[in-house]
This record gives sequence, C-alpha cells and structure tokens, in this order.
Amino acid sequence: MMELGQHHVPDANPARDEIRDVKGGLRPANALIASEVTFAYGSGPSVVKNISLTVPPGAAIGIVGESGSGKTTLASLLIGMLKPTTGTVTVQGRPWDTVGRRDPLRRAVQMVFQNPYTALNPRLTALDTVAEVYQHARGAKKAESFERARDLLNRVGLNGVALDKRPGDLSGGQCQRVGIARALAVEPSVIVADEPTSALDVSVQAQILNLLSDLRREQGIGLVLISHDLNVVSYLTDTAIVLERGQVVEQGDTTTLLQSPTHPYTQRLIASIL
Amino acid sequence: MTHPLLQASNVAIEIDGRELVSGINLTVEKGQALGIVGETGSGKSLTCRAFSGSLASIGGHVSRGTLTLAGKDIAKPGAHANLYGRSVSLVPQNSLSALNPLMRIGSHLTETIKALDADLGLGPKKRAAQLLERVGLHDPERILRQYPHQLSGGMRQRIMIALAIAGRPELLIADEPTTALDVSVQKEIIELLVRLTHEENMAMILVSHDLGVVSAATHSVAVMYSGMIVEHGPTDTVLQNPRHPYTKALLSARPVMGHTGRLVGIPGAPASPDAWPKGCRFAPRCRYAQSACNDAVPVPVSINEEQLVACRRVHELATLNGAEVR
Repeated sequence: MMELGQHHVPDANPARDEIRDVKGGLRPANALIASEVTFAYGSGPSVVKNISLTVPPGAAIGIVGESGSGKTTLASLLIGMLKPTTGTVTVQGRPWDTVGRRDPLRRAVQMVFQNPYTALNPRLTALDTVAEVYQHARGAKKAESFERARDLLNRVGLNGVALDKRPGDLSGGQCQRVGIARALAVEPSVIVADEPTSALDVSVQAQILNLLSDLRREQGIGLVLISHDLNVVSYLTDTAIVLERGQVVEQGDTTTLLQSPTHPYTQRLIASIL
Repeated sequence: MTHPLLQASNVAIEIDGRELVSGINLTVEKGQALGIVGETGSGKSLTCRAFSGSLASIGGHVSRGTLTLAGKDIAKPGAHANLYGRSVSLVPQNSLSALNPLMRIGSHLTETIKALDADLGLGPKKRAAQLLERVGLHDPERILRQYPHQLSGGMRQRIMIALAIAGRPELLIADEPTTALDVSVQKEIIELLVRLTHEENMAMILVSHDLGVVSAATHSVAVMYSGMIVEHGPTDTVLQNPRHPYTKALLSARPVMGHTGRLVGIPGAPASPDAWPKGCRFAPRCRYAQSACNDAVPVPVSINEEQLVACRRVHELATLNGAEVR
C-alpha cells in the first residue's frame, strides 16, 4: 500500500503486521512512513510539499521527476538526514527525530548513492568497507565481521580478487555492488536508491537492477527508487509518484501511470523518451 | 575527385606506447550523422579525439592508418592547427563544467569568434547574439551578460554547442552531449543538434552509450567494444536487426517501458587493455563464444551490402533463434 497525499493506491499485496528478517527476527511491516512532509532549506520556499508515502516490506516505489523537482531532498528526508519543516517521517513507528545517532533503528533505512566511486572510502578494500560497517553495527568480532562481509559481497555478485580491491581498482558496477552490500550489512528494512544506475553502462545497469529486484523479492526489503529514467522505474517498481517542483502531480500503479499518464507533466516526461 | 568529409582507414591510436584503439574504418559524408556507441573504456572518446585533433593533449597519437578530413591528412600531430573550430569542432564530455565560471557567456563567445575570425561581418557581439538565437536561446542580450552558474544545465549545453558551431565547422563531434541532462532537456538538445546539422549543412558524429539517443539522431552507427568496432551499419538496421552478439546483448540489457520479464545483463565487465584477450575481446562475456573465438581477433565481414560485423560466428548465429533480441 502506498499513501500519497489524500489518495490511496489500491493494495495488491496487503501488508502484514510483521515480517521475518534473514536472521529469523521479526520486524514491523510498513517500515517507513512519510506523512504530509514539507521541507524548505532555511527560509527559502518549500522544495518538498505535503508528500505522504508508505513503504511496505518488499514494495518498490519509484520517484520520478526532473532536476530540481525535489527527488533527492525527499530521499534525504526519508533516510532521516533532513528534518521535515512540517509533517513526520516514521521508521518502524518512531519519528526520525526521536531516533538517536547510535540507536540501532538508524540502520533500518539505508541509502545507495548515485556515484558509486565517491560513495566509498577510497582507502578501504571492498571487504574492509563491508566488514567495518558490520563490525560497527553489530559489535561483532573481527573474524565474524569479515566472514559475514564475504557472504554479503558474494550475495551481490562480488567474488575472488575483487574483494581485496579498493574503489579505484574496481569498475563502476563493482563499486555499486559494494555500496549495496554495505547497505545490506545492517539488515535494513528499506533501501533508498538515488539514481543507482545512472552512472553505469547499460550492461552493468541490468546486473544492478536485477540485484535490487532480487533483494526486494527474496529478503522483503522495501525499495524507494529515485530515477529520472522512466524505463528503469518501469522495470523495477510497482507504484510510482511523479514530482514537479516538490509536489506530487501524479501517482499510482507504475504500469498504468506510464501507459496512460493523465497529468500533462507526466505526459511530457514520457513523450521525451528517445 | 570528391572525398568523403571524414575518412578513417584502419586507424589505430596509441597512448604511452599502448595501442588502445585499432581497426577504425569509418566514413562520414556531408549532411550525415554517425553514432558511436559502446561502454566505458570502449574507445569512443579516444576515436573522437583523433578526429578532432585533441589526442596530443592526453599524450596520444594516431599510430597506424590514414585519417583525412575533406581530403586533408589529419593523422599527424599538429595537422588540426588551422582546422579545429573551422572544419571540425567538438562538444566535449562533461561540457557542463567546461565553461569558465568567472567569464560571462558573452566573453566566452566573442573570444571564440575572434580567435576563429568568424564574425561573418557582423562584429563579435552581434554574431554572439546570433549564435545564441541559432541554438534556441531567446533574449540573447540578457544571456550574454550572465555567468555560467546563472544558467541551467540545458542552457549551458546550448552555449557549448554555440561555441562549437561558431566557426561554421563541416563536422561537429558531440561526445555524450546529453548524459547529465534531464530526459526532456535531452530530447531538446538532440533535436537541436539534428536541426543544426541540416541548417548548417554539417556532418555530425554523436557519441553516446544511450541507444535511444543514437537511434533518434543518426543515419549510421558504429558499435565499439574494447577499442574496436564490432558492428557498423545503418542505424535502423543495426538496432532492429543486430548481428554481433555484443550489440544483441546491449539491446537486451536495456530496460524498455512496457516490456516485462527479467533483463538479460552481460556477465562480467570489459577487460582492461592490459588484459585484452588475444582473440575476440568480447569472447569472455559472450554467450555464443567457442574456443576458436580465442584464437584471433575476428576480421569484420560484410553480411549484406551495408552491415559489417566482427564475429567469426556471425553467419552461423543468423540461423539461431533471435529470441533474445528485442
């Protein structure tokens, strides 16, 4: 189910109250809920206006719009990096501003960034990057952290010598896999991916899109996909919202929205695809 | 005897003694648009640098083959000295950051116009305003006074195109001109480039990793992989009936609205030039590769009068079901 403003999108897969994570623990459904969120930088105009959405387990929501439409600001609000001017974003039932920096709940929503090279520490190998996060998040012993990091990197398709390479020696696609493995290391309920494939070649893009799709289906991780590429949104998401100047102008089932757009802005975006 | 505008015959490019591009055979006629597609590291930009004479700035040179522009040999270093801007011009990659942030748009344009002696008798300022109109920027007087940061990405790209056409070149090379732009701006820029090639009677080489962009704007396309052209032919033919396994795989890997089912990615990643295999460079990632594919670099073969494919199994694969091709 996804709530948008005053509207409700028909729910194909009703959310359960709780979901079981990969370690057998239970996590609440609807891990991430934004309610009537508005945000302005300083005393400037609102760049995100009255947006509501719910991310159930395993759901994939696409957020589309052009530069300046508020996509990345919305992502920052969803992961708790920015505080809404009005409205709330709750993670597993708690508003972000009640979740301290060291609270384990901080990890429930993870981000995958647009530029996979600059999102990683250039001095750490792939294995170190993921093990460090695992060790820090779990308070695990070093040996266990490396073992688990290896599993996670294998899970995202990185094996062998690639594990001991630093970002500068990895391809863009490999770096993005490390970024995804790092996000998975803290067992998030939701991944917010901000243009995760726009810096990648077409063949590598397909690998990453398939990986995100698998994580969602197999581990029930909710996905918020921010993209200006409507083909990517079409492939990966069930529901989509279209943002124009911080406002939702259209939302609904992705296939329906892209095949029969009703808002002129959405129609213009679709007509622009070459 | 009339020459093609640009003719590359068996061109190879070396940097620091390593041959990074080889076997480039391309012809561009006046009024025609050629697309070059391929992944990162396939040699697209190096090839364009050879055509525009900007290899030397990165320590490269044309090491083999012949390269002519309007009949003049442009393979040797320095051969472009009087040609760049006038005969051939480049809209570079990352051109959004190519403008000097401390210079007004007017200064960028008038400086270029003066350097190329290309004011067409109007004087640099009037010619600058005219160029802005040509690239679809209205209110040129205001824009000439502005700094780059005051313009949107799409407007800055139009300025870069205005700078590139200031000297009325015969060949415009656009290297990933829309990569950082929104989808609607991308369409506008591609339409602008197509319009300008018609109106200015230029030829265009459009480099892109986006097959949609190339499909919309070019007459012919060359698909590059690991420093070589693996398929070349009319754009519609190549994209609708790709014959090289790499071109097929590229098309299958691309999400297309309305198509359902899992994307077929290409496993692995292109090898670095140090690790290029002796035979077909795509073979390690190719689903149709056989051991013989590793023996020698495949020679491009003509499979009809217009399509060239560098795959030793191309005729054999034609009989297989093309189900993987969308």
